[in-house]
Amino acid sequence: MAEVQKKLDLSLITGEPGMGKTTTGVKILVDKCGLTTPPYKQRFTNDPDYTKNYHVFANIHLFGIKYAYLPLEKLILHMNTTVNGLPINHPDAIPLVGYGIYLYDEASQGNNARESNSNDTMVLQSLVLQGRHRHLAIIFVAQFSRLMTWDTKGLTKQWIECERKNLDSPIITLTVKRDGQPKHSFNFNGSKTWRYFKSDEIHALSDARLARAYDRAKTGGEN
Amino acid sequence: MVQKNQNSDDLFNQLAEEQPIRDTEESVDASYDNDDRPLEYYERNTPNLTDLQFLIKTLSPDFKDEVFNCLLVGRLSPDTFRPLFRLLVNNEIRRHRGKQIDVIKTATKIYTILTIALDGKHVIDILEIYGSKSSNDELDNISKNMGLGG
Repeated sequence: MAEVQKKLDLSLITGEPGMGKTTTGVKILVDKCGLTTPPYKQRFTNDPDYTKNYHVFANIHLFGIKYAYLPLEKLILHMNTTVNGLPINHPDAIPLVGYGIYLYDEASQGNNARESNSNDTMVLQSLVLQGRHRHLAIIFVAQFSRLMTWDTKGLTKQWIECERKNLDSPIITLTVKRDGQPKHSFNFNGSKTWRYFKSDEIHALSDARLARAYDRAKTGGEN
Repeated sequence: MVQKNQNSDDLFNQLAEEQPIRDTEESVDASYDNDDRPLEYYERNTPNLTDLQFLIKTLSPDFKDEVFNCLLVGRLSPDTFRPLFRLLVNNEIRRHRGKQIDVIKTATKIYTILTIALDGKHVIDILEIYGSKSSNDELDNISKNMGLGG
């Protein structure tokens, strides 16, 4: 756990569409779950101590991995939930969203710089700020870093840039930049990671937001 | 001190069961090899560029053209500079016959490449920069060891 916390903390994966961003994010999850080499053994144990287990959260649907589906609205619901029933600000409280890794795909929706003052984005920013206290490594996946809020950009410890020569090639080139270290480029084969997720999953906009947009469009921008 | 709770995992399991574990689908393309090692393996086994490699990579851009790339590492005699320049510019323009081509841009690009290659100065420049950097590093180390700061 300490290793993940030290190495990952907050990561930002960027790249143009189709360059293997989500693949890289899922690959990190898969590596950390110990699913990389068959037979696929999950690192989840039956230890009753929540803090010794390794929890995976993601806002996309995954296949073959035990995870909690946690889109933004669910994260907001469970932000203050603790597994031992104590209030979240109690020194002994163990947060439900913690002790693991959280993959947030398409972070330009939900953590967008242009919406950084909206209430829902503020929750995600708070999670970023509380990441160390929750023992939670967070991976944001976005098209480019300028879409991200300033909090995220300022606290990111690991920047990963993805590149692929063409859409048919399984070889993804990663350029990793960590705090205080020179850039490092290396390739990996993403073909075995594609089975853990569906690359064309669409992230839904909330009904309320669409209703507001519809109202505005209907009235010609007057509402 | 963290309190132990026998049912502490139940809440997570409950959350996880909302989306039950589904079987993985077959790999999109099974023809590729069974290369499924962790990212750390790839990272560890890819060497970092040394200073010299970094310099060469930065100062010798890939022009996607065999002739231009050859010229960069060659030694161009000053006598051949002018004829080769005319020849290469003509060649470039002829290659794009019937298409739009920016003549000034092409001539400038070829002039730059030939200047780099003139007398093999390019390689000498790289080695000089590398040498001065190495000696600076060495001097820094010595001054640090002697307690002179740096």
